[in-house]
Amino acid sequence: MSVARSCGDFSQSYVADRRLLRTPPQRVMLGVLALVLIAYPSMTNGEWLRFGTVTATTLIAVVGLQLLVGLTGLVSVGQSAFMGVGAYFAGVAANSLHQSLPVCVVIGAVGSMMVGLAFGLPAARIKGFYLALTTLAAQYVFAFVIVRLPQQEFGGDAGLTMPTPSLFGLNLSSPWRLYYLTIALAIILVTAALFIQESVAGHLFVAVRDDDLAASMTGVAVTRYRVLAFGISALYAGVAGALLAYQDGFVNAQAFSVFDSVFFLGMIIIGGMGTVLGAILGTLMLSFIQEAVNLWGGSVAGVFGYHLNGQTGPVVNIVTGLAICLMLIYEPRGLAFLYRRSESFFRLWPFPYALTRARTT
Amino acid sequence: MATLLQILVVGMPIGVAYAAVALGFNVIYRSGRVFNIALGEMFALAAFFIMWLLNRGVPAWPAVGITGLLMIAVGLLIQRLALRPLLGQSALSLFMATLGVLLLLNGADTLVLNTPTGTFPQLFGAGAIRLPYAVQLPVASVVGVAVVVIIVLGFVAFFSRTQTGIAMTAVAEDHEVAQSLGINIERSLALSWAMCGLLSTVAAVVYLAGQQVTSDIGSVAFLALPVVLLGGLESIGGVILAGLVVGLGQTSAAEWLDPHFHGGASEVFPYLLMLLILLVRPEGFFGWKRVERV
Repeated sequence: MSVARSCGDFSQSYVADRRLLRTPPQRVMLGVLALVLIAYPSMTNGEWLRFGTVTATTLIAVVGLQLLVGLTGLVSVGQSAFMGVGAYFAGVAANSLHQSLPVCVVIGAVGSMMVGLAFGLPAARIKGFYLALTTLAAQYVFAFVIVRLPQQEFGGDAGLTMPTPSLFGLNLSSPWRLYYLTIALAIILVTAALFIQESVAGHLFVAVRDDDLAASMTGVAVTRYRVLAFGISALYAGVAGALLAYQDGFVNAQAFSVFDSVFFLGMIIIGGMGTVLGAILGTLMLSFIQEAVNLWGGSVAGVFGYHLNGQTGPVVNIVTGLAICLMLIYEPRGLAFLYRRSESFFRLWPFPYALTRARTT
Repeated sequence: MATLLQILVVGMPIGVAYAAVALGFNVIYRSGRVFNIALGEMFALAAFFIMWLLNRGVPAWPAVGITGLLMIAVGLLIQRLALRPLLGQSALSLFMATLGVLLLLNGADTLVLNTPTGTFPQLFGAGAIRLPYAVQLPVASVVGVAVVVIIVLGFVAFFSRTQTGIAMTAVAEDHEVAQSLGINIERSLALSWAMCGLLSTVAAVVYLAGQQVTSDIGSVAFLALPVVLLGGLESIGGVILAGLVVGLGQTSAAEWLDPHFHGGASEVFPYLLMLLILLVRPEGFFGWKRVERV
């Protein structure tokens, strides 16, 4: 799991070799991370707490997308639509069926997965851009269908209002409780993604990505794994969508635009394709940049004598677009690679060996 | 009968306008295997810039001319700054780069030009021709259709008859082989992006003539996607036929299906058609079927 192991660092069994946490420092680091995540609400004010919650939600969707795009090599420009599907399933379950939060989230996830599997089916016939275009179609078909479903259950143009989130009788309406709920789910799903990545299915995803013909020749059911990847990715999006619905207190089709899907892809590019770590770093980085532009963009522009008049949306788009292009040109392996390289730099220091090629998990 | 004629009169210009937008995708794909998802934003930029010039009192045709030159420059800049550094990388990287360009242009539109909205000028003349069954055929539609058909035929001839056009197809097929045959691939790719910039201006003029320019007109490119796929990504001439199928289909859907779906069936029709096409015939009407070897 770790990168370019130093001499003498070896495993004595296959199980030990595939362990996610191999060294004591890694366990310590994980503990520190857990403490930071737990202490985060008490360290920040309302705006940044909301940022933490939204970023954790985004992370779930992006990790799901990473399994599809990075691992299986299928580009999806429809992740945000699948989030919307999850949000609506959860909303209907909460409003019409009066289910509790965990049931609603599960219904959102499973519902989104079903739709994802359906949209993955064209993968049996087509690949490459064409497949990306079917997911783009998903985006538009979603926006069309959702507002025309029965007004009674789906709310039409107005959307749905969500009930106060509560878990086993505990009221979760305060921002920090929602934060803990989201973080907990994000941790569970990210860990699950790490396991998926290391599982047989994960390796077969990579085989399909690297060469689908060769994979099919060696007996991999290429279509099945492609559709499966779509399903898993949509499941993650569904959970994220359901959580977002509870955080916002309402569900509206317009909240799930094609631009969000492009942002998710941007996060994967910036973080690095093909690894869960890349999805995490990319989400953190791009979310932070966008939040920073939203918060401080106006005053920074003011210094240069330019007035944004509170319109930070275009600046966010420009910055994100630039980040995507620059990352593709200068470091296509993404932040995950830079992180691994710095890791090996410190391990080998003071020797000047640079990491050129490594597994980045 | 009157309804059918009406659908024909309304649907044909719509379809041909889609074809004009779709042509931009095809030219880029045909000459570089890049799927330029940023085309919609190039189209929007052209439209906004024309509006911006008009608001400053520039007459319509000079405004279109200036915009055409600007868009050529924009196309060349995109190619030079975003895509040339990625030359030889996977098609996926290039696609992602155009996604980045999409975001960049979208933001720049709003920030620099402040998205001037309003009614786009009708450049192809007013008036209408009276057809049987009291159907009015606007002159502008006839001129628009003629312009697009001529341009498409011009591009078909360019890509199949001229040395440069064939060389561009060769570049798309294999950069290395093309280069070893003495083709200047960078110039070839730059030319295709210049064409794309110019085409986005033409598409804006044809598509928007007499229509409202709104801040989200960039999504027109997504409407044109079904046309691109139906015609086949590599086929230049296919866009006309595909555009007609989508345009007439959409108008028919608006006529017969919308009343049953609270409107909007016509909006989703192209996408459902696209899904169907992809499942039945992924390479479209005239796209090139590829035989893969391991």
